[in-house]
Amino acid sequence: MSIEIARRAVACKHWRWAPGMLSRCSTDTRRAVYRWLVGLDTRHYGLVCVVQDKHGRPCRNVATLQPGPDDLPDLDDPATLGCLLALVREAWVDPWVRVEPMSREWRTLHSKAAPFCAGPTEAHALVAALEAAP
Amino acid sequence: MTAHDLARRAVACPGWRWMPGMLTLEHGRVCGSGFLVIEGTDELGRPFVDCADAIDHWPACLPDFTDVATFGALVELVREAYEPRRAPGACPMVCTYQSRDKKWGVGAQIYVRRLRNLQAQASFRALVLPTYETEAAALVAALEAAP
Repeated sequence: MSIEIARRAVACKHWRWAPGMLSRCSTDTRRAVYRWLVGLDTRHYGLVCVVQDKHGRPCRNVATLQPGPDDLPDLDDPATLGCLLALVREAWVDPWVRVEPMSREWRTLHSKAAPFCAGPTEAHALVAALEAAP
Repeated sequence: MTAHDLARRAVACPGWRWMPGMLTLEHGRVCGSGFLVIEGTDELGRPFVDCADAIDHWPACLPDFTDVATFGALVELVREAYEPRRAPGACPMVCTYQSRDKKWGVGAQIYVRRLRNLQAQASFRALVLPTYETEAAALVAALEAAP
């Protein structure tokens, strides 16, 4: 999956990191287990579990980190795609939004089965739907 | 059917395996190459994570399909079961769908090559009929029925 589509995703106003998403950046590979803090401190700190280094070796470190500008979601990862679908449903306030393959492309459909966004892959269709959300 | 019943049916399927990102009903998340990370809050209510053993060392763990990341991984397991020969990076053809009365099913886009017309034509075929209240229930039924 291209970096460009991941950048488009994080640039959406409805984007947020969610538990279970896989983030990749230029320095290492890590699975994020983010918990956003609430209350007086509204800094965007999350709890990140670094379990693999960039070579895929397990390192089992648990660290509190802040998602940086280089952190991008891995939209090839099935769990991350599941989170992205949930973000789209939330953004459109429609729990019935779904994506389907149609001919040579993927389409995002409303609860009334009307397609409203499309793309060459499932991730592209979902990101387009997130961008188009009001 | 309870969340535990559905989860037990899923883990009993031949096509089941724990995937990174999945959440257990015991609030542990599978990370990286199979480590289980426990999420919780300390006595002051602050969230923390702690790295536990590999998920394989916790045979009683069950998946939480209300978690969106676990749901995404379940979709991938169903796709692997029905599309075992899908090339890496190729677009999957299996997805969930809905009936008019908002019940969930699982279907796939297939290509049919007609004799008179050599061009393949796409059509949608139901793998699991839309009779389920939740997407996860339809996907677990599809995983059970996988060839």
